[in-house]
Amino acid sequence: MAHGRTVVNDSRERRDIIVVGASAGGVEALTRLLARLPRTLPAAIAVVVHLSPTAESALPIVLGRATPLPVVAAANDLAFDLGRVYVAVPDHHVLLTDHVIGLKRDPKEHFHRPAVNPLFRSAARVYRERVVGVILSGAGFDGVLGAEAIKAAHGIVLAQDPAEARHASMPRTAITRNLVDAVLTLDELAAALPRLAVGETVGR
Amino acid sequence: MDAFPADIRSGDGEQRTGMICPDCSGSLVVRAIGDDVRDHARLVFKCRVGHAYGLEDLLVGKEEHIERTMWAAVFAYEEIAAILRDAARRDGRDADGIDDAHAQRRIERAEQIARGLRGLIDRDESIRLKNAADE
Repeated sequence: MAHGRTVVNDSRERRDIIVVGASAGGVEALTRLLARLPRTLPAAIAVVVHLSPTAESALPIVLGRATPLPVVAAANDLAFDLGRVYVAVPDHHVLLTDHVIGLKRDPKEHFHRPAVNPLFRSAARVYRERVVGVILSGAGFDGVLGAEAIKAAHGIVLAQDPAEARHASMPRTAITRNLVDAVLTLDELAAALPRLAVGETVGR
Repeated sequence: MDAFPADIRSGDGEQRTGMICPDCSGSLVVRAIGDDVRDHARLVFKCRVGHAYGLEDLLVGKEEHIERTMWAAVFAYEEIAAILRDAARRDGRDADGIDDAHAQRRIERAEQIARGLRGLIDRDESIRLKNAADE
């Protein structure tokens, strides 16, 4: 799984549903990743970062300032469109249904709501092989079960290089369980996602 | 029910409240510290063993209590229904004290209430505090 040598998306399918999970150290990683994405991207991005359920979140604003892409706070029944970034809000899991965002106060997972796994599972269920799951910096191992669902649906899972991640546990656990197609730095992720969105391979 | 004396001032010392500690369920007292006029006195809640909370902490603790107890109610109802179903499958063995028709009504009612509670939890929304940083 060395950088640059792994070939991802040999089958050249469009991978235009990007779901990103992060926890501790994740805001910094997301800021860098989203900042390097192009202004127009034919992919929809949904982001879950672990948030306190009782604190106002400035995350949509913070990320909106960082990236040229339009960023919106996830809301119930909001259309899930290509070209935009949807950011989780406190106290709700983010669930994707067909082209629509759902917010649910289902039980917490890994002591968190929002949690990464419900987002990943719902993406895999609806969008199947179109899904790219991205696991960034984070303690614990939220996202691992969701990554399993994405792999079972023939989607792609990418992990931030644990050597670069401020908290390596989340990406490292996914890698250890053999769920990750490629381990990439944030800059490499930012280069790979637009290619995958239009059905190109990465790493060749 | 009054939660705490809203007119409490910093010279008043500890006052009793009608609330219990989110950590140990002991009774809480409250005092105000700081300047009542210039920067409004801050409330500090404390229980017998010494768990201490600001007003915001207390709200967060109560939200967590709601989260725990609402799910506890959901699973209690769902377990009642599951136990009665499994008992019925045992064909009357060990089930002398259970009336079949009554058990069936109880199963349906318990499952209906569990679904209703899940819906209530979904529609609820916890307090959102300002100036608390993202994790």
